[in-house]
Formats: sequence, C-alpha cells, structure tokens
Amino acid sequence: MPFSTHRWSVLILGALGYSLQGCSLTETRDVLPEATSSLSLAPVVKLLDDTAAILARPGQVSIDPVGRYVVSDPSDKNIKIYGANGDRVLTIGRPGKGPGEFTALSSAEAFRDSILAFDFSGARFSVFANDGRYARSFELGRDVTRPWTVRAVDDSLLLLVAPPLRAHQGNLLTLVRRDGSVVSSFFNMSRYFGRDPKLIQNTGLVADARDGRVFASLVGGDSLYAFDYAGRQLGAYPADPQVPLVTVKTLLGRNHGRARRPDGSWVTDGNRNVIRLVALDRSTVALQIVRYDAERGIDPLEGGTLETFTLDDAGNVAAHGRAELAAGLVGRDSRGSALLMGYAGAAADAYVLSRLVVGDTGAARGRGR
Amino acid sequence: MKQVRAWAGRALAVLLALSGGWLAGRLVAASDDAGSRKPAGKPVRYTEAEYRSATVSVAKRLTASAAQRLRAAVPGSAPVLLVLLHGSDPRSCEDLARQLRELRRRAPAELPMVVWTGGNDTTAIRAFLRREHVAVQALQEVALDSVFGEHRRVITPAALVIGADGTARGVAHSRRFPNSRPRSFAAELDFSPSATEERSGSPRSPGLGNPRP
Repeated sequence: MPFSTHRWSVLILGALGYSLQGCSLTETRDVLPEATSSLSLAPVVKLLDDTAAILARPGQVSIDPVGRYVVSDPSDKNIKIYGANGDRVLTIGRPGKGPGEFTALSSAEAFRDSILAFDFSGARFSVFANDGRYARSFELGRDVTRPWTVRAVDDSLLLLVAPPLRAHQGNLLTLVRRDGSVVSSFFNMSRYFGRDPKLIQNTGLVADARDGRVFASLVGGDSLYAFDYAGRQLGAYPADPQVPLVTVKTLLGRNHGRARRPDGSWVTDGNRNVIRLVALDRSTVALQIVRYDAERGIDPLEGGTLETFTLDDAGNVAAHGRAELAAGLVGRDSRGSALLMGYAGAAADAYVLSRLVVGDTGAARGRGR
Repeated sequence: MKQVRAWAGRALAVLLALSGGWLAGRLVAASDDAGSRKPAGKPVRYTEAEYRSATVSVAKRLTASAAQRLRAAVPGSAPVLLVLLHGSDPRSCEDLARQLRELRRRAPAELPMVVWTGGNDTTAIRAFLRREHVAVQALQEVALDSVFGEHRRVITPAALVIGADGTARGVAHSRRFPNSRPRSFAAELDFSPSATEERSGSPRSPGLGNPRP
C-alpha cells in the first residue's frame, strides 16, 4: 500500500525530532565578534641545560615560591628545575616504579612550597620538597574518577582531568581539595560520545582552572566551555570564532564512521584542534590551536593559533584576542599571565620561555550559553 | 470550524511525531550509556621475566650492499651504532625517545649513531627525532626487511653495533608494553652511565639512590 502524504509527513517530522535530539548531542556554538586584543610574546628567559641532558619534551611550566621554573618532562620522565636566570639547577625523579620515580609522568607543578607530580600509571601523586627531596606519595580515593592529568589551581585546589576514555562513565572534570575531598564533579559528555570507540579514541580533553573559573575544551571538538567552581556551566563558545573548528565527530560522520578514508589517509589529518589551554587571572583563558599532521605528528612548541577569551560576571565573552605565534602554551606565571615556550633557534636545541602580552585595543561582547 | 479542526489535527500530529522522535533519541542515548559503567581497570603490572622476554638478541651480518650504504653515511667510522625503526615505533613505544637519547649519551662519543627506516617512514621518523631531540649522525631510507639478506621482517625498534666486517650485534624489542622498560637499549648493550652523564644528571634529587643500570 503506498504511503499517503500524511504518513510521509509524520515520518519526516519524526526523523526531524530525532535529529533535534542529535543536535543536542553536538557541541554548542555561538558567534563571537572579531578578535579585538592583540597578542604578542615578551621573552622572559632562555633555558640553559649546559652539560645536563637537554629538556626533551616540555610539558607544564610553573613558577615556585622562590622564582624557579618547574618544567615537567614526560619524555624523560623527570622534572627539570631552572633558576630565575634560566640555568638548570636540579633534576627531580627518574624512570622507574619506586619512590620518586615515574613510569608515565603526565603532570608536575609547583604546589605551595612543594612540587606535586602525577603519574598516570597507577594514578599516583608524588610530593617533592623544594630541594628536590622525595617526600611521599599518595593515591586518590576510589570515589574519584581516575584522571589523565592534574592541574594545580591555587594553594588549595587541584583540577583532575579525566581522559575521554572515561567519557561513558560520567564526569570528566573534578575539583578536589588538598585532602582529596571533592569540591565538585562535572562535564559529563557521555551523550556526545555515545559508544563510538573511534570518536573516543580520536578525542582528548584539555582543561584548567583559575580565579573561580574552570575552562575546558575537547581536543577534536569545536567549543570552549566555562564553569564556576561549583561545576555550573557558564557558557560554551566557539573555540575559534574566526576560523571555526571542525569536530572529529563531524569528520567521522562525513566518512561513514570510519577513521580512514578509502585512500588510507586519516580523517583527522590536517584538522585544526585545541591542544593546550591555560586558565589565567580575571576570568581569562588562553588556547592553542594546531593543525594535526598524521604523518609527522605535532610539536606544540612550534606554535600555532593563540586565542584568549575573557568572560564577564554573567558568562559573556567580554574580549578576545587572536594571533599566530611560534611558541606553545605551557603554563602561567605568578602574575597570572600565560607562559609560552618556543625554540631559541632553527636547530631546536635550546628553549626560550616567554610571557603572553595581551594588548588592550578595545572590547567586544558575545553571548555564551 | 472544519478547517480549524483539520489544522488542530495536523498540529497534534506534528507534536506527536516530534516528541516521538525526540523520545526515540533519548532511548538510544540512554542505551548508549547502559552497560558501559565498568569500574576503572588497574594498570597491568609486568614482571621482570616478562620484560626480558620482550627483548630479542640479534647476532647477524649486514649484506654487502647494506654495509656499503652504512659506510657511505659515516665514512671512516667503525664500529657504528645502528638503530632500526619502523614509522609506527614512536607511536607504539612511549619510552623510545628517552631510550635513544640515553643510548646516545652513554655510547662512546666516537661511535656514530645512524638511524635506518623504511622508505615511507622517513618523514615521520625525521620529525620524531627532531621533536624528541635525538641527535643522530645520519638518517637513511633502506628496505629494512632485506638488510640481513633474509627477506624477513626485521624486528624494530632495534639497536645494533655494526663492526667493520658488517657483523651486527645488539637487541630488538619484540613486544610492546606501556610506559617504560626497566632495562633500556643502553643497558642491554652494556653502555654504562658515563662520568659525563653522571655529572650532567646532577644535581639529582637527594634521597634517591644511584640510577639503575
């Protein structure tokens, strides 16, 4: 029996309703005005390893209470400390499974008067004194989602960032106090991810918190999310308002759910992603966006697009800046400004640490949601 | 009146269809979540024996053409430290870069380090070596599976010391396991920490023992 027009209408509308549900699973987008702040680099210090093994792959950079630069090196599985003049003064930890050793160092930062390191393998924290002496280690309670990385928010709070591999299990971000007690747990993207292993495998998460705000972005997503410390979402904004990012979900969808195209290339090859994010003072966040190269891989220190967003009290974007810079986001200084690290020369055998200077050339407003 | 009823009926049908579709979507999403709440798995612990079993000793001889190729890369040098890499090795071995840097530091300075990789992998390996600050004298494209003349897949990553007569002695890591190995290439090739390296590593964390071999 042929379908009547009415029945076709019902089917089409039903599909439309289904797709509306699908829309709610995609990341939110909003149009923001053109960038209004100029961004530039102000060199701070050149890091000098002298005869010591070179800093292999800088992870995070933080500044301890006496002004030394604490640099995590996930590749060497240790923490390298540089004096205020850039001279290497100390190396903390080494590969291994014993006390003060790391098998998968994922983050290390100055925390109060200590250095706090997190080893993803075993989800173990290690605490070192300022002189590098190993003090103790501890693990998180069973009630806390096992993080991939940890960010020191301030003297009292840590932000635990879970990998999207845990996406189906619930919240990806958890703020905890020094004693491990949970302040808030939020950012549940289980509906967005569903059970698509290719989407989960090709998506990461970067997040940071400062000054009452938590910022997060999916690596392979297109949005920047802002929360307060209670976990309430303040807004979601396009991570690059000028050249919108394309989500991995979209790329997979265009290729019928497959990660590789018929010619063998990866759908993610050449796609631009937020790869690093640092929360700054005054409700500001800095993002680094880099084009993924499936053959060569990426080196964050070679730079890319740097974006900054500043939120007002209502969660609106009050200003944002954008620039192409030849350095990678690595942390923030004691004044709450972003720190970036780049190569001192073409040989890539020395590093320069710089501060991000945000020019005040005007303000624009955009509504988040 | 009849027209109003018809429009009301259509509006009701639209509402029902939309809500039906939305509800179906919710159910699909809910079923996506269901059954996936597995407890977080504990990391796998490997025994020392398992680590050892993941290492293969290599004692072979390069073909004449391969040996000639190597001599051309580092003329006048014998022996030579030769590393064989497939393009996928940096992705599958998280510890590879550290081990290669350590190998370079510990091996005698007069021993040049050359990396051989398959033709399609050169760009990836060159980028990896640069990004990870692994200093090598030369990176060459070769058909890895025929360097020993057997036309068998060569196990990589491999670190070999090549003698003047083309003999190759060393180790290959045949099995991947996550994070770091307790015995690195340098330790397996008996390149002990040099005095320079000991100095360069210092000052290390007080309270830690001497670095493991």
